[in-house]
Amino acid sequence: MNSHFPPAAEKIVADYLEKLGACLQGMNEADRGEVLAEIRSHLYESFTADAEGDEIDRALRALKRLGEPADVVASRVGPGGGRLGRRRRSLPYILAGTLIVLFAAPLGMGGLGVIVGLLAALAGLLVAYFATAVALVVSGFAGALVGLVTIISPDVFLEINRWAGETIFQFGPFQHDPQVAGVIALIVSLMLAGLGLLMLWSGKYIWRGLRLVFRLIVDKARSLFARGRRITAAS
Amino acid sequence: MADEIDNKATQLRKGILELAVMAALHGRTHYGYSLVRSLTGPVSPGIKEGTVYPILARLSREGLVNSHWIESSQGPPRKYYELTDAGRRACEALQEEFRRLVRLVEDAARPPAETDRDPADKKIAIRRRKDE
Repeated sequence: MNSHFPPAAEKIVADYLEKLGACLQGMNEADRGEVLAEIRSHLYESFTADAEGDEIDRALRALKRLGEPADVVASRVGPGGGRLGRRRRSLPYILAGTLIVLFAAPLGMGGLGVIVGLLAALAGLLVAYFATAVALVVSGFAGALVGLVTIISPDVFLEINRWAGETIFQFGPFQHDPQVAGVIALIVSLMLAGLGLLMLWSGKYIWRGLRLVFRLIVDKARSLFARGRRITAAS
Repeated sequence: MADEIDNKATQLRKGILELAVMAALHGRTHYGYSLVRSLTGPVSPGIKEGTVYPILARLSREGLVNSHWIESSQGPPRKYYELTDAGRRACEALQEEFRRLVRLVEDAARPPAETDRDPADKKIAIRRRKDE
């Protein structure tokens, strides 16, 4: 591309346009290119209309008159469209991130492998954590129910054993005093259920943390992808 | 206090700038830089030149302006803007509304005529006369 600017001014303008481009993340490539071309054109007009001083001063004054990149693209990206701030559309972002990762050929197979591996590890960790928590809650409450029945009516289990013709329920060392076994089962089961509930409650913080890590990985993949495309385009 | 006035002036300017952009494009085409110059003259007092681009983008989304690129013999291509038919109609309606608002502000700022004066003012005037 013909830069039209002298070299020193071109460097200043290119830096500004890079910042402007960063504010336009989320916009499609064609629209983004058009915005950058239009602002470059504006800067050129402003630069050539100002004849005072050297080219660096003229370029800096042109940027100052134009304003901050975020103000120039204010309504184009919309609230939350920038890199920072709240993102409500987490699922589309996750899908888009996954697609970018999968099709990010410039990263190479090694890069893809590392990213896919990290994402899979995170997902696995999350699934294992919540599965453990749910299992603890379910088994804890089931155990507590059994303990409660043992305390109130221990004969129920002895009847079941008799009806089945074999020993399904055993009370171990408390064979002659099943109510003690019931109390112990109730306490231990409630503790397990409590642990499960605690894990579920604290899980939201772990979920937030993992989501942050996930976004960092996806953002990194996107920037590597963009850099790869620029290198491919330049060569 | 000066900051508050600055904020109010900025808010006022923001609303009017969109109409000014439309008015500048009424019957004429402009590229971004020439539009800024037509609005502000050789210098840009109080507004950053870049503020016209979000306005142009919004007007374009609303179908009030069209744009097209034209090669320039002196530098990079320029993106020219022009009002659509809907844009012209909107501009004329908004200009009429703007004139009505200007009249409203001017009438409100005009000192009241003798007959319109508040009765409380009259009482004070009478009492002063008695005092004299």
